[in-house]
Amino acid sequence: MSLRRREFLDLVALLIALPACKEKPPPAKQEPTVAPAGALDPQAYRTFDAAAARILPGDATFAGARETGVAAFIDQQLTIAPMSKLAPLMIALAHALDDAARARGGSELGVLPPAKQDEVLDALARGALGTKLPERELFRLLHTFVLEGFLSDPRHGGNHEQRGWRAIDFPEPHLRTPGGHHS
Amino acid sequence: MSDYDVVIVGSGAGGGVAAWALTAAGLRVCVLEKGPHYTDAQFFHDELTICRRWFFTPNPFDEPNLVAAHGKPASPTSNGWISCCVGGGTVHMSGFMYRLRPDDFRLRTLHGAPANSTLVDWPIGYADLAPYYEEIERVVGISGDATKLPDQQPAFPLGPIAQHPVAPLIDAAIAKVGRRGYQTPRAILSGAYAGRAACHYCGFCASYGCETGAKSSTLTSVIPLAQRTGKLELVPNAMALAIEKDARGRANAVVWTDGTARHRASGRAIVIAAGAVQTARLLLASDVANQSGMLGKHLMFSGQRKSSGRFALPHASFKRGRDFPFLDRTIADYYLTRDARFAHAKAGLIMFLLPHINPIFQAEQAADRGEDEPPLWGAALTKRLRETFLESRRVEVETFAEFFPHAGSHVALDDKLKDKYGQPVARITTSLHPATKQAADVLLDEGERVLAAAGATVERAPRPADVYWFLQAGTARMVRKASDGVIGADGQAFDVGNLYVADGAALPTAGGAPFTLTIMANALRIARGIAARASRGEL
Repeated sequence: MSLRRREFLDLVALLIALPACKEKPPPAKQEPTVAPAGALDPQAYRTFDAAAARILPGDATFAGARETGVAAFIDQQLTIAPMSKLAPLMIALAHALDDAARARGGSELGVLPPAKQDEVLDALARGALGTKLPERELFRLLHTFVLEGFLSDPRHGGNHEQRGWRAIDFPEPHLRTPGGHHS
Repeated sequence: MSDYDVVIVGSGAGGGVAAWALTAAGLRVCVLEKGPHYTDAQFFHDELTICRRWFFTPNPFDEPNLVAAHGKPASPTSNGWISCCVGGGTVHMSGFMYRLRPDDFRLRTLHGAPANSTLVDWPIGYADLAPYYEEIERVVGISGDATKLPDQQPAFPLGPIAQHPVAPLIDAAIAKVGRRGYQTPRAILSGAYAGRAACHYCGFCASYGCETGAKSSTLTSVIPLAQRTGKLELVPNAMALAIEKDARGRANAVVWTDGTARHRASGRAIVIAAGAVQTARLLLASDVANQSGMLGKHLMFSGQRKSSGRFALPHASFKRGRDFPFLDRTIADYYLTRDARFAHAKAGLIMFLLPHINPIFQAEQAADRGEDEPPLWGAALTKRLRETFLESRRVEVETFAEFFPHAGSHVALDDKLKDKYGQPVARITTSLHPATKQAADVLLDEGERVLAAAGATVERAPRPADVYWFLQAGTARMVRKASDGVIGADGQAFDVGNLYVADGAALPTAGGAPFTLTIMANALRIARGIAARASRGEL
């Protein structure tokens, strides 16, 4: 049913938890299909691409977060109101991940060896990264973005060429077109 | 001179039905609906936009509710909103349609009130509501097989909707554990009816609007009937701000805004049907109907727990290609029970169904490890998603435990946080009464026994019992004694003449079952009473 609509995160609470993060919303776009990429700077984009690839790694027969373009999805989501309000927070998260990477000998998250990247993400998930950010909540938010970018309609910027849907064998996607019928 | 005979706030299960009944009686009605008026053709299938952002509700940045649930600190969220559009929650509902049963109306007298609950009897009985149940079932279009239900009732206008091939397996498992199950009646057309097309089984049902009009929402069923009378003025995008009273203390107008200017709609009677949370918020903000101090108290939902049974593929019941998207099975053996595992004779329902069609929900559920642990990630997540989507199929079980009203579940106005209109937001505090919690736990155990008997691997959701936010009731409850509630048996506020409540807020008990049909039947009953008063010149 029905019963599925649980607010996955208290997004507003996240914002309130971060007074240090000055809000500078990018221009709001109502229509996802025309929104240009651009909420994230190139480094933040690369860092989320790396983090997403560790959160949902793909393999030869299963397209993961990187192969489905989750970073492009996040980039696009953060330009669309009201999700754009989260852009400063997400950019702060990317910077925090890169700071943690630097402490481990890399210039940003994506250049660390995979095991070290996992170490950083594990610390974030447990709230042990040592930043002032609401770390555990941000890990959940990032995780949510990964699943959404993996399996939402490609018009939102992720799920490139429906690779996510194909990976999970999402049945009968033609029924997604209103009026589509069972054959 | 009033602008209208009746002004209604809200157009969902309560407001939509009231609008139809009142206009059909020849009254001039204005419906103020907070959200837009979508046509069927404007509904589309997009997992993210419809289910995971704020298509049907205001977003939590602009219009949050402040929710403190289960002892946790209050936090701003969109939980507590049902749906803001013409048709309200009936547009995105699953449409599980249950009548209450005769004992529900006298639970306190017949079975006692659990300690520390504020349970009351209804001021009416089942026989008072039965004809309205029947009329609603016929007018909106309910599909089901009445001969299988626990109580005798007339046939539904439409036969049951087609079921997924796993249904016989679940039926056999229910019988194997010694229980009795039946197909859940649904507000979905199994055949063409009243000028509307039959369901085409696309599966994008719960959480979505139906683009063919086969879901029996008030948007699709009764509101068009009201429009055809020529007596309805339907005003979408109209946020009600306050109820006004005349010099004699009777309700006579609603002040509302379209976001830029304030307007006033006057009526000889005012009907509030904005959902139990928002109805209480509007009445509290207007400082009306709270002589008893009961307004906003007794907030009820349903005690919900979830589990699922995983069937490894290949499996004879899960072949690709001809899978109808619905499995609707109910066990009502513990609706009323003497089983010693329950703290009260009233426990609730066990419902079996297929996972929601949105794969993002399914992936999220598969990764969930509860509130204290981060969700699964890394190679473990990839493996888990493979198992979930490629190597197995699931049947879910959910409980609907009777939500005993108690002092720990209520709505008030927050004294600090305001919405984008400058109105104080609703502050919702809720928790489950121990008897509700216990009932949900035992019902879940029983549901899992069925799944195991069907050969499934049981995987309990790592979450304790919670409330189901879309089913909300009780905040302006209908009672015999004015000191126990807010409105009388006729739906009228005890202390404000011509002010009526006709949504979930009016219900004194929640039934331990989805109660949308009960809201509709009760709204019809109340509206007929208003029409009768109008015809006697009493408004």
